[in-house]
Amino acid sequence: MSLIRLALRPWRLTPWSQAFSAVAMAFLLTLGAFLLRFEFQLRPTVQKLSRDQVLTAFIEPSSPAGEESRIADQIRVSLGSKDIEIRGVGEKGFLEALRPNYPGLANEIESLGDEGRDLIPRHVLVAGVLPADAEARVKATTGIVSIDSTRNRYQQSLAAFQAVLRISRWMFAGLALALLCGLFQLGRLNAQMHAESLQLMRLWGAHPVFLRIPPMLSGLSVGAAGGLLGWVIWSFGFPGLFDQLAKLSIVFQGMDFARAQAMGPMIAVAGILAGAATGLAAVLRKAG
Amino acid sequence: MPGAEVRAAGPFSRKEKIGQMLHLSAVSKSYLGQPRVLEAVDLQLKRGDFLYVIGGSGAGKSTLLRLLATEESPTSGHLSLFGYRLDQVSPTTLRSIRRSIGYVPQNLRLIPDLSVQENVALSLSLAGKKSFSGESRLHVAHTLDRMGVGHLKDKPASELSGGEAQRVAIARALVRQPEILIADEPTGAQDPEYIWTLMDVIAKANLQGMTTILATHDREIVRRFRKPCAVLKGGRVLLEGRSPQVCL
Repeated sequence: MSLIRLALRPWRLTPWSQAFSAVAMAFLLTLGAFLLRFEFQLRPTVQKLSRDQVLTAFIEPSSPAGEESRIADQIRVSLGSKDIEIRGVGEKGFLEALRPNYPGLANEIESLGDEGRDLIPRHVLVAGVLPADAEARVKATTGIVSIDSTRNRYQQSLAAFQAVLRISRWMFAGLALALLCGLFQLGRLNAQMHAESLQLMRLWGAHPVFLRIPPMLSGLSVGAAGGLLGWVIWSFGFPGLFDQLAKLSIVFQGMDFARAQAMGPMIAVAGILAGAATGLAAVLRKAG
Repeated sequence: MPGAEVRAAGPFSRKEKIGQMLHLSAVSKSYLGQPRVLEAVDLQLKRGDFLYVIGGSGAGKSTLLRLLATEESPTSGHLSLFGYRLDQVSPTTLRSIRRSIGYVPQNLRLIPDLSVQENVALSLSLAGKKSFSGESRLHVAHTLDRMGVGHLKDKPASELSGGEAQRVAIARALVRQPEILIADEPTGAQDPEYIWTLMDVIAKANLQGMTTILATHDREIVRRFRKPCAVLKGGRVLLEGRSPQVCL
């Protein structure tokens, strides 16, 4: 009880300084959490876009009919992912795909009979988020003569999103630094208020760990106030913020923000830990 | 007496048996850019000794007591407590030594955020006793009563008068039943009626073996409680003895 009263001394002597620090901390924590969440959500989306492609693997024209199914199975085994769409397209499939848009051409090829077989590009379509070496692996499959790839089709958008990611990382680092500097400065000021009591308790034979408790609790109290306020701001400000973000790009709409509410308690915990740590750090030398 | 069972932590029994409680050898103290405040002070006290430190303003009384309370270190010379040279002890031993000292600084330094009772209980708990145990609580209450401040136990220390604060500061030092009591002008702000009560309490504790060093400029106290004294002037021990010619 005595220690808690000692810890709350800064709140009694300078209540507004403590309160303003807690409010500043709340906003910094909330913005930091937003950027962190944004980073965690955008990074996999960008990675997905950068690897999302469609490969068209053309089959040796002289290979027997139905070969495309066997080759498709081989590619499926080679790439090994359930999420990748792999489909063999034979003569019939090609003409069916061609007919809706080009019925005349489809009929003409069909009328050529066996001679037309050589004109039809039988192929295997591989679509989805592919591994980096997918193209090489498909090309190595027996019966494949050439490959067309849609790689880099999102190149322009990707560059923009990667720039956004870099900016958000810098901003996050800046916010974290500002938060720690502010808290550390507050801890130093609070340590001055504890100096007399700590000096006396040291003379009474107090252990250094004991001497660190009041400043640490002081920092923790500001951190907890800031963290809890940050949780409230996050809970009420977050949905609107991400609604606005979703309007910017279809990419943002695809992000999973449903679990973002869990960030609220994390903000509170981060505030408590940061407050306690900086309160402690501010007096480490003095209490030793 | 409930307080009799509560003893401060004192790991110095073997050293104490040797007899040397406190030893200053050519101790000097100066602060940066200032003339020496203490000059080659030699003092020796055994367990249960009583010593008045007398001198005018600026004689070095408070500086000497701060050194004895381990609040400051000598610039030169050696200071030993319980047989340990303070410039050679480990932090752990220094903490143990400090737990065996009761110190009443001139400016009292009560913790303003705590109540009277909490100030005293915190001092006791730092001496190694659990301040929330029933026995310790009784001991705190008894000590406050002896100092005539029992009725103020729940009052914040910041709201005490000068005399009340002084009595609480003495209670805070005595509650831990220290091996050494170091008190700097502990009766300076007291009404006359309390001065003799306080001195009685201190004298009784001294009779029970508590080494006592008391700085005062009150000749009446020295006259009534005849004890040895050291007279400081200009940072030097001018005279030492117990005769009225020396002390009065």
